[in-house]
Amino acid sequence: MEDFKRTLKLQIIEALNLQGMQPEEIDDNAPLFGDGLGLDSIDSLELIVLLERNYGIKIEDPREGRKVFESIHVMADYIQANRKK
Amino acid sequence: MDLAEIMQVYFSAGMIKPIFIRTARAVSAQDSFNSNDLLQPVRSLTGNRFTYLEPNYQDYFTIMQLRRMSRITRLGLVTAIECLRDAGDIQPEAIITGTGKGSLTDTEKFIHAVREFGEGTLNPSPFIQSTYNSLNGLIGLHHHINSYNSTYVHSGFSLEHALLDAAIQLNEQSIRTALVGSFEEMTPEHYIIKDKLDFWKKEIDSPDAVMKSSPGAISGEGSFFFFLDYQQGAAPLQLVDLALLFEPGEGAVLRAMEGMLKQHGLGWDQLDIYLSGRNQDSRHDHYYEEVEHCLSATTHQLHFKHLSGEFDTAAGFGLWAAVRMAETNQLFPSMIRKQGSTPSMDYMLLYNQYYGKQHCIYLLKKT
Repeated sequence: MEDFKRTLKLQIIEALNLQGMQPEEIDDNAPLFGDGLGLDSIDSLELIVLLERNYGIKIEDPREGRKVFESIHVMADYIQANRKK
Repeated sequence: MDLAEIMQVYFSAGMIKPIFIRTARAVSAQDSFNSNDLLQPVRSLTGNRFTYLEPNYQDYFTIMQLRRMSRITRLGLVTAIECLRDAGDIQPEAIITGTGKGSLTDTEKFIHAVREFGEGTLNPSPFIQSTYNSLNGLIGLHHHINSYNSTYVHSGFSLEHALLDAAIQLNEQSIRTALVGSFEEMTPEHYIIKDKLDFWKKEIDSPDAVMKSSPGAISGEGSFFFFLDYQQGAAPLQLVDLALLFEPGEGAVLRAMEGMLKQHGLGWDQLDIYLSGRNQDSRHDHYYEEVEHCLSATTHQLHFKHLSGEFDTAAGFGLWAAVRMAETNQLFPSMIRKQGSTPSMDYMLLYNQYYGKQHCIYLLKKT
């Protein structure tokens, strides 16, 4: 699971163009939106695209996405439970 | 002038009243940004491409801000920031830009994604940034300016349309100041596309290719911003007049220039500086040669495409150079092709054409 979280962080860094950021700098439990990483609604759409392309998970309702993207920990659990590829 | 020639005159001399250029900034293949000068000419040529020297973006933005900016929007924004800073951080009453292609990097990313993933799963960011007016939006957001904001995308007339829009509004005094600029980038993929259309010279990696007459030009890119004012103040340069011609016939450029000079009570021998967009493309250099034959021996002849490369808004380099030379009262030595005898720098004529189609004539006056 730790390896998967690291892979996921690398994918997020690339998808959101977080230049210069290292996976270690993203706390597994910190919120991705708001106070934590400071992501916004466009990032939410980018993460929905990331889940669909890399894991075959379709999130139709962006409100559901905000729950899934609460933290790296929550996101990794959700992907493992729902991934189609 | 017959009807066919009238149709070629896209915008004729005398249609605007003079406006003033207070500050100018340039990012180009030369070290023009940090010094706002042309002290040490360099040739950052890769193959037949000039690439601009990147400013240090981290002096301006955080990582979180930078990640939302494409290569060209971050460049344009930094150029605009410094241009406004030079003007005393006055909020302009209009932000008007021109670009031939906008953010090509993001356009290509978006098109590749459409091709790879169909129309279902597409990233929003490249789409947002590929729109031509994304830079204008960023400038407005960064400086909290919610006034008139527009971008013109008209190939070799793009910067000139931005200037005309500003000039008309400044002339009417519906605005008193305007930030006007241009931005252009070249990508490896777009370079190849244009190479297939014979835009570029064929001598690859030849250090002399840039100065040698042959079919094609050297590719370039850059961003140029100008702070315009309806009144003189401390502005070093005046944009006296501007004329645009589309695919002009034989002699039409000369007639337009002579008409412009006459309109302002000038003759060829009163031009102190001639700034030429000549790019050593043997297919279209005859337009420049016609003009050169008319110039007086007193006029200094300056070129800039061997420093900037060719692109839709390359005239911005010439206009930036004119502003800076007027302000410092010195010619840029690396631009001098033929030294004239006049000691004055009052009147300047800038002529640029883009692959024989869009021709722009600027009459400028040192204040």
